[in-house]
Amino acid sequence: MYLLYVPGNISLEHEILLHPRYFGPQLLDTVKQKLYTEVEGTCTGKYGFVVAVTTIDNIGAGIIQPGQGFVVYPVKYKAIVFRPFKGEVLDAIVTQVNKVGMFAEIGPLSCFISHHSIPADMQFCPNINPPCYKSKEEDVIIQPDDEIRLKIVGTRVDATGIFAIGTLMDDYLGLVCN
Amino acid sequence: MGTIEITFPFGGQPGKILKWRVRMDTMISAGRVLFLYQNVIPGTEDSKGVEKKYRATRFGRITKILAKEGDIIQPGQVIMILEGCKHPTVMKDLCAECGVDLRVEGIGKENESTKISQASVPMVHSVPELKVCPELAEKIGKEDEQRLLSDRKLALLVDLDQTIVHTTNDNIPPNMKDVYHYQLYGPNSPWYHTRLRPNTRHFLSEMSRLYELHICTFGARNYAHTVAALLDKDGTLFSHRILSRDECFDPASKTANLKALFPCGDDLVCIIDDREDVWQGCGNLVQVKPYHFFRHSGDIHAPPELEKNDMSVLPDSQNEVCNDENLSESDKNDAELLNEENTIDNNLEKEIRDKDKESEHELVEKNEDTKDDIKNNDNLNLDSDNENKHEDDASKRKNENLTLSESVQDIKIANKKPDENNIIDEDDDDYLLYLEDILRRIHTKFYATIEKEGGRKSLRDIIPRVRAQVLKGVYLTFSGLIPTHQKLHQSRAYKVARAFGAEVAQDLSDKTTHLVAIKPGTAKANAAKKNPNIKIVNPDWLWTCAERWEHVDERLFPLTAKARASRIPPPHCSSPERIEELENNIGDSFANSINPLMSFTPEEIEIMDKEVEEDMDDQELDAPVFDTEDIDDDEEHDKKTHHRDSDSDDSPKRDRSNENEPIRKKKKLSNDSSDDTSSENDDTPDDDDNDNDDDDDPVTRFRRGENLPDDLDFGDNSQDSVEDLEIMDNEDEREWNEMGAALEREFLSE
Repeated sequence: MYLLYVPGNISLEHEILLHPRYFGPQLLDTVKQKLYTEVEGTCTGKYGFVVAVTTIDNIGAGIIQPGQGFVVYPVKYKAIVFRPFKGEVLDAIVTQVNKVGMFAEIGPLSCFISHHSIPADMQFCPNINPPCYKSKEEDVIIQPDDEIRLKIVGTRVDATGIFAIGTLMDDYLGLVCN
Repeated sequence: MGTIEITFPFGGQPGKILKWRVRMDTMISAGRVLFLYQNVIPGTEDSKGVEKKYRATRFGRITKILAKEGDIIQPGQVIMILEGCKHPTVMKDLCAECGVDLRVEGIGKENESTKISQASVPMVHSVPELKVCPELAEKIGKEDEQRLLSDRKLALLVDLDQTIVHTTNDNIPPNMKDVYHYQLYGPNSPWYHTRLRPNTRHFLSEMSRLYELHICTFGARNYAHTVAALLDKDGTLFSHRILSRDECFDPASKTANLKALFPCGDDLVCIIDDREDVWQGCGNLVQVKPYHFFRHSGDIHAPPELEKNDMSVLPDSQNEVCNDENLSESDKNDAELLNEENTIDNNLEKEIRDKDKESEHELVEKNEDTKDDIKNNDNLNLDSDNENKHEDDASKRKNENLTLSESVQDIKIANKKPDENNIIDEDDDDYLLYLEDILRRIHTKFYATIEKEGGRKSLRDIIPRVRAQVLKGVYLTFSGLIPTHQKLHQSRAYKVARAFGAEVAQDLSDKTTHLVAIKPGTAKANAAKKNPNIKIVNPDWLWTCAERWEHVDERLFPLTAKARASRIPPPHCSSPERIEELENNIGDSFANSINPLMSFTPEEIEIMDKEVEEDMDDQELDAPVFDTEDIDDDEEHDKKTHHRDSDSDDSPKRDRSNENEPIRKKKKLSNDSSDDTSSENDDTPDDDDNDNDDDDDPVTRFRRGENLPDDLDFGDNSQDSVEDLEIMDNEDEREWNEMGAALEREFLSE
């Protein structure tokens, strides 16, 4: 069967740059806090979205930057990441439906499904509010806020995030009935 | 992308196809099951073993299937032919069909990188990154059109700012009625205040039955969507059809996007907008009287090159924020202290606002329909008062505005007190009722043409035709409307009248039904008085007809000595044909361009002289009443007699006004920078605004809803409007160049 999305728990490294004013008894707490804020919610090309830091394995020796006073801590941590792959099957929430296709979101990942990648018996109905895709027998209706299962056929990774192209043209894809 | 042959894999056993899982012309992607097969023992026809799935390894469209069910296929045999993906839909440079990254695909074959995908049309309003190829766009466009026609609907592009809402980021009292307040960019960003035009909700819900509504605005995407949400909470009206500045191809024009939104042409598209310039004379446009509610702010989303002084509003927003914050802190402490003072200030503000309103209405809406004739009477009385004290008033208002801007802060504090009543601003703008009627007529006319003539006509033709029905059968003659050195058919008044279907003649005749006169006592007015068939009206009648697209009752616009009407149509009454006509005029003969008097016959000149003399006589009689006009008319007289002189007089004047322009800008710049350094000095921009008012060009002032200066329309027509100003300037230059060239030729030939 198809592999459904299992978040990966990956070992990662990050360097924390700290201002000298934080030097004191709470130093390591500050480093941890800074790691959470700097890392969670970001996106890298290799590992995808960092969803949450699970454990902090090691905070290395801080190195004071000459001439500045700032200190750099190398931190090793584990985090749940989400990296979409080509061919992966995911559940998504439909956000917008238009005549060219539909947009869906899988958490932080947004995804577009072209009209051609939606089964041919589903027709776009612009007159209904909100607009939707409807099968000929009218038994399947996909509209915004519906949950669909899609397969990713392509991804675009850039500095700020990942964008995916999906398809509904395969077995067991389409509207997820609750 | 050419064709691809799919072969049964080498090296394996031959197979027997049990069942095809795909058909011709379907798009397949890698991994899709194509058919089920079983391995076959070589040499025999027996199939054995488990059913296997044959999966596609590539993306494409099936063009040919070369094997039937039950066939035995050998390794290496071609089973089907695929056509590669043409990438008809592209999202962020990813093909939305096959998922290929077109940027990667383009590397290595740079020449072809542009050819990889034909997709170039952003069809979805709010997602400019999503592009489709022209063929697909046309197909989708055609479907849209069919749907509209079968629903008996048309498409209506609605502009936001000054058409159905007015938004400001000035400081305004927080408890005004029917004003929405919001921040667009997080907690520390400027506040926006939006007022819906009266009857907007009714208008939109009525129009949504006849039209598919689209928003088309120069506001930022965030702003457009926020305002759309105010207008239309559940998305029934606009859905996601919202085009904003972020999606516009061209920062100064909206026309470019039409082709993308409606790939099959703009035949079914009707546009309502308060500015004509951004549509470049597009025939589908119904120009709307600008809605103006907040004083001192024009269109905050005017296109950058066209906004002129509107920009001066924006820098305030920064100050405003800190101002607001300061206020909320100091609120409680100061509120009591300032209590008394504020009530006074408030009254003052209301008074000023009322006055401004009146004068604004004096211009366009002085004469209201019978619907609100009670108000009308009041207005008229007040107007006549204003009339006499006009000069005093103007200077007074300036002073008041100065005091007002000083006390803006105080007023705000006062209004923040919860126990104070809502400020109910009287806003008797009822233009949307007329607009609704105009759009209904266009819709009816469109479907009537389909039924009558079988074929369908473009709205580009229908809208001018509906417009030309308004004053059909009306024969107009102008008196005092057109400066003598200007030809009748070049004047804006003539073009407006023609666009609305009226016939215009230079002189009174048997056919004439209306005389549009600027003041009583001209030769034509006197002659028309004797003819009972001719209705004498002031120019506001024509402008009101043009604004509402209906034949307004003439009795509401009587020609009286006290009526003051503009000679030049308000900017929103312009006619799209104007541009073409100007182009046609370029071929005029040299003699005409140097001096129009040369082309007149002696008789014509005699008649003109007579008219001048009669005018002069009238002046003497009316002199005590029209102090200001008397002077101007003398000027006019001067021009008539010494025409050559006045022509050359004009150019230095114009030069001077051009020189003023950069100076003013510099002044503003320095003001802004000083504002940044001294944030306490909040009033400066406001004051500056008031001072500059006199220098503003009339269009900008009108947009802001301020009173137009009375001397606006005297003299030549160089102040017609922004566009005309430029055109005239160009024309002037051309004239001088031509004259220079002619003189040169003369000298050379000698």
